[in-house]
Amino acid sequence: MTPGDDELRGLFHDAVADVEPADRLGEVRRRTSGRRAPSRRWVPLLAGAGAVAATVVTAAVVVSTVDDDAPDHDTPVASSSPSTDSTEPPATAAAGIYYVAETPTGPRLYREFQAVGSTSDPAQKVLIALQRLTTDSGPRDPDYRTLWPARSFSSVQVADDRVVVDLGTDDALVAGPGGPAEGRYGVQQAVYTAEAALSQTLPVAFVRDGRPAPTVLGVKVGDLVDRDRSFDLTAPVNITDPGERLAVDGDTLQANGTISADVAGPVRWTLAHDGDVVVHGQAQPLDITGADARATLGAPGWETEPIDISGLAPGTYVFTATVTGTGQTSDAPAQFSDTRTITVR
Amino acid sequence: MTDERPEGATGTVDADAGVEALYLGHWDRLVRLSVLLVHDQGSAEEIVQDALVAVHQRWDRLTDQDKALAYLRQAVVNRSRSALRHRGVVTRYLARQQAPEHEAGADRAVLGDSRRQMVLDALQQLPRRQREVLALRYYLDLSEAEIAETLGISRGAVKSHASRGAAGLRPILEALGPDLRTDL
Repeated sequence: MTPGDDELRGLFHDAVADVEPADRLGEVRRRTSGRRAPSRRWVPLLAGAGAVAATVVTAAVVVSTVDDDAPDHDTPVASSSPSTDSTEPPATAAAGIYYVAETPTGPRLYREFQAVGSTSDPAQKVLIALQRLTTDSGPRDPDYRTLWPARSFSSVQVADDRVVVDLGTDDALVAGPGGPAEGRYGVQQAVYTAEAALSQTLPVAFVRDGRPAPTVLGVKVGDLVDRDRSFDLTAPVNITDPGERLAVDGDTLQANGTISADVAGPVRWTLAHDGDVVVHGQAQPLDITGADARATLGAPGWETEPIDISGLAPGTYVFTATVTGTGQTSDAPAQFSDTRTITVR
Repeated sequence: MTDERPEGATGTVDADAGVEALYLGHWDRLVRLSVLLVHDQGSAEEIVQDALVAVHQRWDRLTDQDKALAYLRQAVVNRSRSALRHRGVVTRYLARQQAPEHEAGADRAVLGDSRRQMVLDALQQLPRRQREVLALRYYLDLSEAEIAETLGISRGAVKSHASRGAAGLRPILEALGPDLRTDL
């Protein structure tokens, strides 16, 4: 028997009966007005509840690590909140976390989405994301690594014009084995991750014991550190979907991701088993808009057609996305890629 | 839907007034529609807001401004879809982790809020088209023809997605059982 129409109507209306949308008319008016303000200060609501309102632009919000109840990213996380508090946002959200990996022309930042504890508090959102950068948490993808020592981030405040990041250990001030040259990527790991968590462009102020940190990971920094948009900072190609260790049940796999702004050529992809390419193709450019674009910091997107995997034997496969680029310091074209290991069931 | 057009949309309304009328008439309902599709209120508000801005940009090219609401609905569904696509990895991961929970919950007394979560979770596990068709039919009360137009698919496809989707939700309805029915 199929459920009756009235039953389903009741089910759907009941499912969202407790959703009270925040009033965003002012925001819509401002965004559609001909006299649009030059600096857009939208409220970051990528994963939060409507109750956030505009606190982020009016007041500094302080949180400490003590409240961090983010689930460990390696343990299964339920998508529904067991809480009966109807105003609570969903228990998990996707956060873009920036790690470092090697390319033919040196280290680059790669973004990986991780499931994190959801919160409507912007400062808490940033702190939860930053704590995924430290060595005791780290990337899921084994090709990635992080430059931040354990306990690097102790608290975060989000103010009108900056994100204040309190460093929890002196280890975060000094260079790691890669020296200050590599430290630059570490500093930017934090800036990119914080901005992605907020869906907002805000410089970061690093603080240690209440004073501006003179160096971070061995790099001399000023009071405010902006996102470094140099061509040699972010990965030329980055996979968003599939995530590392994804198990695929269906007949198709569709992959997507981003490229850096100065990559011109196509994104080619392969799916390989034991080193043998079993399917390959070329991805199409994808227009990423809205909240997604803010989560990926405006990087251009790409997407494959649905890839037919119904004929593939169950097992472990490696999905690779590749672009060819000529760096600005070299005439020799180099290939850049990102990979994800997945399981076909 | 009872209100099929923005108030006063006569073909001469300017974009600001037209979009404001759409907001006043449909904001809450469309945000809730998007929550059904993406399971997250913050994203849903962003999506509907972006869709309103898109309608505003396109206002002069909407040959028939009575169609503004249809275009807005379409924009909300499309943007919800692309939001999910980018969240896909996490969503699918969570959906898999979540699946056994439903069975465990079947013989437990289910409270209002976790019940809502169960329904939203169950929706997330339906194929995307089925979820869209069901939400447009049972939440927005659109006709088959309107759903077909919104999604760009045939009326026959709407019918088959609706019946398969409804069948897919049967286990959750049974799990919720009398608890749901008495509340309605």
